[in-house]
Amino acid sequence: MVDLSVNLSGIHLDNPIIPASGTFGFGQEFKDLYDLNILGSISFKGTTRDERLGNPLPRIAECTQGMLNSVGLQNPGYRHVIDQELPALEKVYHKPVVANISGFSIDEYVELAAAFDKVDCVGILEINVSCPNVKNGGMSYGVSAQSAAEVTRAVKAVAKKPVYIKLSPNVTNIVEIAQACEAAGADGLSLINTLLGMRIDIRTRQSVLANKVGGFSGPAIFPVAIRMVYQVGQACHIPIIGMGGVSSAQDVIEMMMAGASAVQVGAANLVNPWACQEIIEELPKTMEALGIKKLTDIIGIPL
Amino acid sequence: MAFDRKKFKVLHNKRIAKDVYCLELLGDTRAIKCPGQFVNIEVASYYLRRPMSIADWKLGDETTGKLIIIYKVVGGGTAEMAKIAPGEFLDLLVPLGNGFDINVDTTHPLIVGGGVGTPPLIALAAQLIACGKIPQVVLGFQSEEDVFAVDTFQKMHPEVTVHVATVDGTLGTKGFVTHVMEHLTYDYIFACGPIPMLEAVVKMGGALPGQYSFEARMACGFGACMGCSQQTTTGYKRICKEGPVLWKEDLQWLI
Ligand SMILES: Cc1cc2nc3c(=O)[nH]c(=O)nc-3n(C[C@H](O)[C@H](O)[C@H](O)COP(=O)(O)OP(=O)(O)OC[C@H]3O[C@@H](n4cnc5c(N)ncnc54)[C@H](O)[C@@H]3O)c2cc1C
Ligand SMILES: Cc1cc2nc3c(=O)[nH]c(=O)nc-3n(C[C@H](O)[C@H](O)[C@H](O)COP(=O)(O)O)c2cc1C
Ligand code: FES
Repeated sequence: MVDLSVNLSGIHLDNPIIPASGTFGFGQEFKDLYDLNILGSISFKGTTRDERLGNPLPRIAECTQGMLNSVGLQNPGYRHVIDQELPALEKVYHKPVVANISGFSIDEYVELAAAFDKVDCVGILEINVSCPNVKNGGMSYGVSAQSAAEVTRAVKAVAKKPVYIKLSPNVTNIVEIAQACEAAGADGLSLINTLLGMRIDIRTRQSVLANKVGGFSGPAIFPVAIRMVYQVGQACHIPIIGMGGVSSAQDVIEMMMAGASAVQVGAANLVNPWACQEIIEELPKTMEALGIKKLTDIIGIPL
Repeated sequence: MAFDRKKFKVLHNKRIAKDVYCLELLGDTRAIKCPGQFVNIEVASYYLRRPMSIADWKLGDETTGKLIIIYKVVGGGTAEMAKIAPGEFLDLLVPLGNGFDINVDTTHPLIVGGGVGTPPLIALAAQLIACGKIPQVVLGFQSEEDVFAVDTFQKMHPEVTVHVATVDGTLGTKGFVTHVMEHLTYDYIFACGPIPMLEAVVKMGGALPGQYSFEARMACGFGACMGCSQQTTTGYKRICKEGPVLWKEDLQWLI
C-alpha cells in the first residue's frame, strides 16, 4: 500500500489533488459525476467583495495544448458564497476547502480574509494577488515584491487559518516575490496562476477575446510551472501548492519532485470532467511503478 | 446523472451540402431529454472539445441508440471532424444544455433556422408534430449550394411547409428569413442561428412568445468555467447550462 497523504500547514490531505480555482465552480457541476470526497481538497472560484459580472464574450480562445480565458473573475460576491455556495458544497464535500480570494484593494483582501477565516469548512485561505490594484493604476499586486508582501502582511494580521499567496507568473523574478511573501508571514505559496496571452482571428482581423488578452493555461504551460515551482522551492521554506498544466498522475509526481507539497488541477477538469478522479485512481499505480512508497518522500527531491 | 462521457461509434460521415456534413453515430442516447440539447466532442489534436447540437436521435443503449450531428467545416477542428471514417469512435459529453421546451401553448408554431443553426430544429420539428403541433419551417442560407435539411422537414408530415430564403436568391426567396416571415401567420417562434438573425427574428416576432437557441465560445460546456456566461434580461446565464435555449423574456437586450 502506497501512502498518498500530504500535509499543508497542519491540514491533512488524503491525497495531493485539488481542483484549481475557476475550473470547478463551487463543486455543483461535478457532484453528480463522482464522489467529491475522493479529492484532497477543493479550491473554489475566485471570490471578491461584490458580485462581479465578468468580461464580455467571447471569453475563451483555444491554443495548442491549452486555452485562454478572460472570464474576469465573475462571481456572486463573498456574502452569497458564504451563505449559499459553501453550505451547498458542505452537503456533498466533507473536508476543508481552499478559499480563493481576490481583491482590488488591501481593504478588500482583509475584509474577505477575515470573513472566510470564520467559516468552518475553510481550511486554507488562498490569496490571488494577480488582481489589479485599482488605487495604483491597475497594476497587479502580484507583480512587485513590495505590494505582494503588503497584501500578505495585511491578511496575516486578521487570519488564524493558514494563508497561501497565489503568485502570478507574469513577473520578471518570481523567486524575489515568493521570498517577500514568506518574509511577510505567508504560510505557503500557490503557483502558478495563468500566463497572460492573446490570440488573433486572422480571418476577421480581430482579437479572439473581447477583452483582447486573457490567461493561458493547460498542458502547454506545464514546463513553465515546473520551473517556477522548482526555483521558488529552492529559495523558500514554506509549502508550495503547484499547478499549471497538470493532467496526469505522472505530471503530479513531476510537480511534487519540483517542490510541490500538493497539486492543483485546472483546465484539465474542463476538457475531462473526471480528470481529478482519474488522476487519483492512477496515482498509486504510477507510484508503484516508480518505486515511490510515500508521496511526501519525493517533495522537492535534490535534482 | 447530469451528463456522461460516452464513446460513440461512427456509422456515417457524409457531405450533404457545401462544407456541411452529417455524422451518424451509434451509442447510448438514453440520457438525452429534449431537442436543442448538445454534445461536446473531443477532436483529435485539439485541446478543447467542439460543441455540436443534437440534430436528431433514436433512444437506445450503446448497441441501439443513434445520434445525428450536422456540422459545417469552418476551421481546424471541424476540418478534422470531416476526416473521421466509419468505424472510428468519438468521445462525447452528452447531453448538455437545457434544450427546447415543447410543452408550450401553441397551435401554429414557426421554426426558423439560419445555416448550421438548423440542425437542432430537426428533432424539434419531429417532436412538435408528434404532439399535433404542425410547424411551418423557414430556413435561411447564403446560397443554393449551402442548403440542406429541406427534405428532412418536408418528409415529416404532409402539412409541414418549408420555406427557403437565400441571400443571393439562388433558391427560394431572395433575402433573409425575415422576408419570408412577413407573409406567414404563426403564434410561437422557435429559432436557432447566428445572433444577427436571432435579433431580426425576435424583432419581427414582436410580442409573440418564443425560444431562441444561442452559440458561444465554450471551454467546458457543462457550467464549470463561466466562459460562456452572458447577460440577459433575467440575469446572467451560462449558454452551456441555463442555455443554449433562451426564452423571449430573457432577450430584451437583443431588441
Ligand atoms: C451549443 C452549440 C451548438 C452548436 N451546434 C452546431 C451544429 O449543430 N452544427 C455546426 O456546424 N456548428 C455548431 N456549433 C458551432 C460549432 O461549435 C463551431 O463551428 C465549431 O466549434 C468550430 O470549430 P473549428 O475548430 O472548426 O473552428 P475554429 O474557429 O478553428 O475554432 C476555434 C475555437 O473557437 C470555437 N468556435 C469557433 N466557432 C464557434 C461557434 N460558432 N460557436 C461556438 N464555438 C466556436 C471552437 O470550438 C474552438 O474552441 C454549435 C455551437 C454551440 C455553442
Ligand atoms: C476558466 C479559468 C478560470 C480561472 N479562475 C481563477 C480564479 O478565479 N482565481 C484564481 O486564483 N485562479 C483562476 N484560474 C487559474 C487556475 O486556478 C490555475 O492557476 C491556472 O489555470 C493554471 O493551471 P491549469 O494549467 O491546470 O489550468 C482560472 C483558470 C481558468 C482556466
Ligand atoms: S463553457 Fe464553461 S461554463 Fe459554459
